[in-house]
Order: sequence, then structure tokens, then C-alpha cells
Amino acid sequence: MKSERKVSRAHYVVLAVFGLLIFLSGWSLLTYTGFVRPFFLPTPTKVLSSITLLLTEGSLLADIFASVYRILLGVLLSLVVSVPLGIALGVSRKFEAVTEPLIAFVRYIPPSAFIPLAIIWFGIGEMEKVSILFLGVAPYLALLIADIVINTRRELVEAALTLGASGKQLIVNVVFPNALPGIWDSFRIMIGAAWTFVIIAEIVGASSGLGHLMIESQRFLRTDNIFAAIVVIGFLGLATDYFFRITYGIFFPWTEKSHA
Amino acid sequence: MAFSFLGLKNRMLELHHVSKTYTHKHHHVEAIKNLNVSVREHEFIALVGPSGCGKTTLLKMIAGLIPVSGGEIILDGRKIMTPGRDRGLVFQQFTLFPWLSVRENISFGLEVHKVDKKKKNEIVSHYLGVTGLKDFAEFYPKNLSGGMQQRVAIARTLANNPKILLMDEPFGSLDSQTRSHLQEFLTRLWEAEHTTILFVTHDVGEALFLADTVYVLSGQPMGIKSVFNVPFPRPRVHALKHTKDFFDLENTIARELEGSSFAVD
Repeated sequence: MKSERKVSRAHYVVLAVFGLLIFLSGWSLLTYTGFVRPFFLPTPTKVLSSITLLLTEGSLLADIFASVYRILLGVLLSLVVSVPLGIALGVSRKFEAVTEPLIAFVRYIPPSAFIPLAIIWFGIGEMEKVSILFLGVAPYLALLIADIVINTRRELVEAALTLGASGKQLIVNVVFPNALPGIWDSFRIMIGAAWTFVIIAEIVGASSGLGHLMIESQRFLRTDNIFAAIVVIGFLGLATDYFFRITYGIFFPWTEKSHA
Repeated sequence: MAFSFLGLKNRMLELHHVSKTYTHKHHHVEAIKNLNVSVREHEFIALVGPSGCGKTTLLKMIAGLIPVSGGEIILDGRKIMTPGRDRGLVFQQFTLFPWLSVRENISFGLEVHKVDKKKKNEIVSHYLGVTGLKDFAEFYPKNLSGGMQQRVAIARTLANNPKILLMDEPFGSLDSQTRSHLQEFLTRLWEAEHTTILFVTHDVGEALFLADTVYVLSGQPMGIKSVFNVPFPRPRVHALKHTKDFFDLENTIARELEGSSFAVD
């Protein structure tokens, strides 16, 4: 298994480009030959020109900004609540007993189920989107962080105790720094999940955002614009992943995973 | 059998009738039974016992990480209830904080005790020097070899100035060459600083090379089988291990130890 996973960096890039080329040639084959009608599946060049047009003359930039802004707000708010909550859950068995059932309960309700309620409470503004995102992200994030905290190596805790650390110092000086890379990873994963929630919320009721762009395009039967939005989301996802991979190495040079 | 040095004024750590019992589904397992040990100030004591005889449990009880089931452990006249910086513990596993550099690891105990900066820097550079890690001060643990990591772990514990240093097979996960290097290193360190040390190992040669007194433990439940005073003069160097006297004593203890390993089912 190990040797199977050993691939040089250059080789990896070549393989990645190769995978992308297979996908693009499949798409081209289906569309340029006229095998599938453009109404159902536009050609790659058509999608590309739609993106350019939407960027220059349409609302694409504003829509990207609206969606990204909502995601950042929702996820950052979740982070502010979930980090202390997750640490408390992981550290204290009593706190876990009080809060875990409630968190697990909320977690099993799909965030989309809160949309009708959120619209009644907050209308279709930012507050509604952010609250959906928060309900979708915060419980998961809290439980992920609790799990990371619980898995703190026992010997590290014992070493800190024998060096004289108090309970509070144990959390501040050992549990938290030890959990940070995992928290950063969870943050990345939850941003991916946040895209799902924000697009749903924007499709159901919004006046801006990529979800709104898609539902509007559907009304006007602009399949090419729907694809344009999908491709843009894909690229934003790639950029996010890249951002997190780079920052992980910068923030956590001490981990085995980083190659600093 | 109980061995103690009652009557000596400078005894520092005393174990009185210490026992440890584990209960598993109404089934009691006696891991340690009626153990009596005294450690005098500046003494280097080694406990040698078969693997799995409860040596780690004993050290963790002295460190205050797990409670005793019976008896008491006294350090400098005070009963031990919780972990404290007066008892430093060096583990067999690597336990450096991976997010801290070598320098920051060594100063961890001083940091949590808010020792002032100037004094902290003095102590840390002293131990960086003593352990030969000056050039690696800013390295993260992941970039150190196992032997270096254990040297940092020892420095980190000593920087805290504990009354007693508890060592739980600290060289157990190192290759044999690194292990004998670190044994010499620890001997030099002890000869210079005379920290009281309670050292646990299953390696008879290691115990003999390092300690003044060797306790042979029996397993299941753990107790003390015999005590040997180590006659070799200091400073000790590696060549000592190849002398006949060393070899003979090592054999005697090893035979004693064989007799004490508990029946394997």
C-alpha cells in the first residue's frame, strides 16, 4: 500500500492533467459532435464564453462575492462557537453529557429543513443564509473538534501534568495547540459542506449569489449559465483547498504532514 | 520482603505498604502488593523487573498520575496525592510537545510556573549545553532522532528542578548503540548534578551501569525480591561493561530475575 502511494511531485501533476484531459475530451466528444443537444449540455467553449460574458456584463462577480461572503460569515461564526464548545465537549465528560444529545439531535436534521422556518424568522436576507449555514456547520464542527481533543495523546497530557501544568494550562498549553492542525483541517472540510447549504438556501430564496444565478438561469432556460456557475464553484473549491494546503504548511510546520 | 532504610535522616522518597489492585467485572487483580522502598537524597536507584510486572504503574503512582489502592507514598515528609513538578517523569515513549521547538520544550515547566524571563533563559541554555543540544535549540521534535528526543525530554524534566527524577525505561525504544550513548550521558549528568533518580528498566546491564542500588522485582503481584549494592566506582565509563566483575554481577542478577518472572499462561 505504502509503495503504491509513492509518486513524485512532477509525476503527480502529469497524472492530474491527464485525468482532467480525459474528462474534457469526453465532454468535447459528446458536445462538438452534436451527439447531445447544446440545450442539455453546452460545449466547453460555450461555457467558457458564458463565464466571460457573465463576468464582464453580468452579475457573476457580485454573485461570487455574495456566496463567498455568506460562507465565510457562516463558517467563521460556527468556528467561534464550535471551537470552545468542541474543546469543552472533549475535555469534560459532564459537559458532554449535558450538551451532546442536543448537538447530535440538531446534527441529524438536514439544514435545508430549517429553511422555511428561517425565512419566516429572518426573511430572505443575509441573516437567513447565515443561520442555515450556522445550523449546518456548527454542530458538525463541534463534534469533529471534540473528537480531535479526545484523541490528544495521553502521554502528552501526563508529561504536562508532571511538569506542573494546572487544568487550565493543560487546555491552553497542550490540548489547544495540539488540536489546532485538526481544527484547521475540519474548517476546510466544513467550507466544502457550507457550499451545499449556501447554494440550497440561495436557490430557495435569494436575490444574489451563485445559487440565485443558477435558478434564474433555469427560469430563462440558460443551461450554459448554469454550467458556468457550476464550473466557477468547482474552481473556487479548488482554490480553497489550495489555500488550506499552503496555510497548513505555514501555520503548522511542526506536523509530520507538513514538509517544512 | 520489605527493605527500607529507616533511621537515615536524608531519605527523600518512601513507599509504605503500597499496593495496586485492578477491578474488572468483580474480578480483582493484584498488580502490586505491599511494596516498601526508600530512596535517599542524591541516590541513583534502579528497579529491574520482567516486562509487564507493573513497573510503569509504580512510577505513575509516584508521579501522582494514578492513585494507590493501599499504603502511601511520601515525598519529603508529605503524602503524594496529585502530580507535581517536584517529581519529574521521563517516559519510554517520545513525549515532547511536537508544536514546540527544543528550546520551548525545555522551558515548558518554567513557562507554566511563570519563572521570570532572565532566569528561564539561563536555565534553558544551561540544559541546552549540558545535553549538547545548543545547535538544535530551534528544531522541532519531528526533526530530531530518537536519542536526541530523549535527551530533550530529560533536559525538560531537569529544567524544572525536581526533587526526584523518575525514569520509565527512557532508553527502551532506542537502538542499542544510541542506548549505550545515552547511558553514558546520564551517568555523566548524574555525576555532575547528583539528582535523585529512580530508574526503571528490564535491562540488567543498564541498571548496573547506572545505579548505586539495584532492586530486583518479582512479578504478579509485584514485590521486591532482592537488593544489590553496586560496588563499581565512579566516574563510570562504557568499558566497565566488559569487566569480569560487572559480568559476574550481571549474571547473578539476571539469574535472580529469571526466577522471578511469573508463569506465563
